[in-house]
Amino acid sequence: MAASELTVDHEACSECALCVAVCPYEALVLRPTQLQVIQEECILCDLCVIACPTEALAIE
Amino acid sequence: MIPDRQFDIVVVGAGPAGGLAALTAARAGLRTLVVEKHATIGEPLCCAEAISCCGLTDNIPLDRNWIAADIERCYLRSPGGSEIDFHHPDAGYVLSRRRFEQGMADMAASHGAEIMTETEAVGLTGGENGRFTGLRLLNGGSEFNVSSEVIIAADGIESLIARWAGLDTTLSIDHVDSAAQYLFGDVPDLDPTCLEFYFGASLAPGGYAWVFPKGNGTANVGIAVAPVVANGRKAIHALADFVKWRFGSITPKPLKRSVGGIPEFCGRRYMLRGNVMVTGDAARLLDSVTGAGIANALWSGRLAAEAAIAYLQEGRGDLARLKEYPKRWMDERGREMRFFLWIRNILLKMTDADFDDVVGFLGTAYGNRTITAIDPIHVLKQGLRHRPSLLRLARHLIW
Repeated sequence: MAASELTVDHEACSECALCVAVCPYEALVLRPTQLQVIQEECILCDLCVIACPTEALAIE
Repeated sequence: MIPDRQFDIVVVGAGPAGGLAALTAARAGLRTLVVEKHATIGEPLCCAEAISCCGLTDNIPLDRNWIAADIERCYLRSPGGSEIDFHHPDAGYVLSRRRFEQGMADMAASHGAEIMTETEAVGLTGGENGRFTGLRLLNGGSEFNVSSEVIIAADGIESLIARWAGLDTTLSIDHVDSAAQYLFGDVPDLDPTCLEFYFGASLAPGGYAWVFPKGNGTANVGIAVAPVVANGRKAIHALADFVKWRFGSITPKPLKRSVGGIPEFCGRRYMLRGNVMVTGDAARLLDSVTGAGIANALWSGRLAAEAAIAYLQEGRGDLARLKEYPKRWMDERGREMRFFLWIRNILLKMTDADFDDVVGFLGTAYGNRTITAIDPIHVLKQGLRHRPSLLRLARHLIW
């Protein structure tokens, strides 16, 4: 079974950068206008998922 | 080897803060560069676009081309149907931020500022003794450096420049609102001069819903919720429920959707580090109750540029000269911003009955009169005199 990881639905994401601003580990970046997860930095704390106004982020 | 291009001021971000900072600097004759990572200034929109008249005209002379709607009325409604209507002939505007920001960029360029779109800042250079020497930029796949005496960060909620300068602008989940908005066309039952605000612990937990007209029957219709009290409810779902409730069977036509985050005010701590000046949303300078940020962005962009102009014209020796920026901003806006932060702590915990009480009280205290300004301190005194039971809300400040 694959380990959990943070995934981005780019259709649902509007690149508002709220997740980038709340991530305590700098695991999310907009480069320059598409959201990317730096999986090595992400500890699956869920704060970005909670903050996101849409359902673009999920831990699966 | 070609030396790096040299500027007096590099502004990162061409939003309201960056645009006015660049215009102010260019007008004073400084060699000014603006870098904007998006292809089009003013897009994408992440804002409800409302501003008070003085919030705009205290900072820049009005250009009617920027105005989508003239506002003369504010309507507040509580969950139980208590209402209040404020009327004032010059209450504010709903802007076209795209025309506004493009207008300011054009004006800055006409005074000699260089504007580079599709150009992203990817790092600061230097940093010894708090003095950064410039920026590393990325355009069309190539990286290059520019040097600058002063750097003005206006890069919005991401606030990367401030982080690179050593200011940890990471937002706590307890201190943000999460928001979603539609631009609707053919909006039924719309007063084109009225900003509508809707409160409720379940309708908009920790925040409020809004209908802001933009002319020609269109409106920004949105909602902000505070994740700390929203119990997992997403802004887009709260918005769908609000739209259904507000417009019923006549669903307006969605033209555009936008979402975004609204940070709480964080005091002056993110405004300055060495020769890096941080403005607008990047410095977390937003109204903690209304989420309003455009006027604060304009104030901060202008004051930062003015401090930078004085510093550069007086010999560039003493970086402490740049402290005029946070000092002047706090003198102008600090008291009100701190007060709203205090009020937000109450707002987060109010029940539907509390909203009914407060809006009902404001209705009787102010009625349907023409008012020139709402002084929050005056409102508080009125509340204590006429509805002392409202004092119970103060317990939310304690726990």
